[in-house]
Amino acid sequence: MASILIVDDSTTMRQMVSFTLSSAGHRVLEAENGDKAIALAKSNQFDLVIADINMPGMNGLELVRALRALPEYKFTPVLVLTTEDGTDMKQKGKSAGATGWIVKPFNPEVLLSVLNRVLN
Amino acid sequence: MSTPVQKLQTYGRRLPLLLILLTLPWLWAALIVPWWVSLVGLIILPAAAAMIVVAVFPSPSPSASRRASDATRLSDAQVEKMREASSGLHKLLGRWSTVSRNTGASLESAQQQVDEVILQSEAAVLDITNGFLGVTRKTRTQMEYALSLLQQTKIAGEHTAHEDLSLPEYIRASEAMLNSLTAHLLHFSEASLELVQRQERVREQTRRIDDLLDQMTSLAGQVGRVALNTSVMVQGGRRENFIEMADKVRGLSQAANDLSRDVRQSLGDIKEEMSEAYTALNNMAQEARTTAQRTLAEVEPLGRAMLDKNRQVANILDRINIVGHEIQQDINQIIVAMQFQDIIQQKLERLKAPVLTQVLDVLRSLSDETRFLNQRINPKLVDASGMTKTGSFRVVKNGAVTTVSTPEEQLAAPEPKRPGEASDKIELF
Repeated sequence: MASILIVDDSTTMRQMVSFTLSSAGHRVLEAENGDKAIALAKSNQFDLVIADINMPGMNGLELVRALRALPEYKFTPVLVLTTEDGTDMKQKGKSAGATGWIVKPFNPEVLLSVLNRVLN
Repeated sequence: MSTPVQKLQTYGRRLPLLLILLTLPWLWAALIVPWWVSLVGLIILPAAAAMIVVAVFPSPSPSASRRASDATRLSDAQVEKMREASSGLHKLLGRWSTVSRNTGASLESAQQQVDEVILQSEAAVLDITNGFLGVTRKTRTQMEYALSLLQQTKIAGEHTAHEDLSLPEYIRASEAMLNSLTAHLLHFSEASLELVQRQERVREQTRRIDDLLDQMTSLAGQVGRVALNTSVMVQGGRRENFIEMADKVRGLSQAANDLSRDVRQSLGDIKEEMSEAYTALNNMAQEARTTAQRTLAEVEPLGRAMLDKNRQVANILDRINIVGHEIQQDINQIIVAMQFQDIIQQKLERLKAPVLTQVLDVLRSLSDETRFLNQRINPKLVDASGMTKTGSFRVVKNGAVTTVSTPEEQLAAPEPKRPGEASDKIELF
């Protein structure tokens, strides 16, 4: 069982991801924007972070950079879950320090499979 | 295109100024050229001015001069103002046309995206609905499978010898069989107890025979002593002693006879007990054999049926598991479909930002321009915001008259409720 942080401005998305991961036995916390995510990341130690790109305020790429700036999250896997499918954006995500890129809509089984691969 | 005469008429008032300007270089040249050149120059100056007006000056605008069709009651200033307004309207209409053409393409693209979003929304809602219906249907199927184990429901494809019996009936049949077996065992136990009692009685009789044999041994001893006494008496030759001895022998004979009868009686009793015990044992063995055969006859098919039923249960549990897996797939599909809300929202955001905002800005700019023009044309009927002071105004389109509300009136109008939306008015008493 892993401790996972989900960052997405869409409540539906957060609920869907949370439902999928909780059903698989993981402990899930949610944040609706980058600032709250950083605050939660500082007060908890997560094994994995799943973040959207297009969010009000701090966007997903900025969040990844901010997380990588924290010593305790330097090597924590950060997956990007977004509707963006462009090569440029993926490259930016990789440069920012993202571990993986999942395009919405996600399939729960695929998400769990990627999650297990990343966590192991 | 205006004629040279029209141009000269239009710019006639500017000719003297032009002549003065042209005279300045002539004055400078007159001092250094011969007198006859200065004279020729002076003569051609008006012609040069006229040629400049005709060749260089632009054609006069409509506002530059009154036309024959202009109403005589209007002043030149009014005519000029109206022509300016007309020119402004022409420019504005030109810009409207350009903007309409440009924004038309954007709006067409926007419409396509909106259509796509609507289609995706419909597809997502359909997927979710189908997913939920599938989950409901499959859950019901699971329940039917489970209930079929408890009821006499035949499952498609299942043909066993005891398919008409439900699981509780099998359990009841097993229980009845076990009860019957228990009753038989109880009966055997009672019969065994009776056999033990009979054996105890035989042992008692045997003990009695032992006592009788002891008595007979004692009797034999007494007979020996009597025989010894008799031989002694024979040597003495006394008659009365013989009589006494004969009585003793007679008594001993009687006692031996009684003992023999008792032994026979005991042996008879033992024989009877043994016979009864044998009969009881035989009956019990017979009954045990019958019971065993009957139990075997009951257990074998019931065991076979139970095995079949177990296979059926395993089969149904397997099906329930498969349906459970399908339900999981449906739920996954629902999760995928529900994510389209976020995708649609982001598509609309993307649509709103570049296309609609651009169109909105252009339309706002045109609106400002129109308002400014409107203000210039008739400042008395227009307020500072450019709206008519009468509020709403009428527009005639395709012969039909439509009343258009002002923004303030539109803001004041109640918003239409969406279908299914609850009213936010609360009344407490």
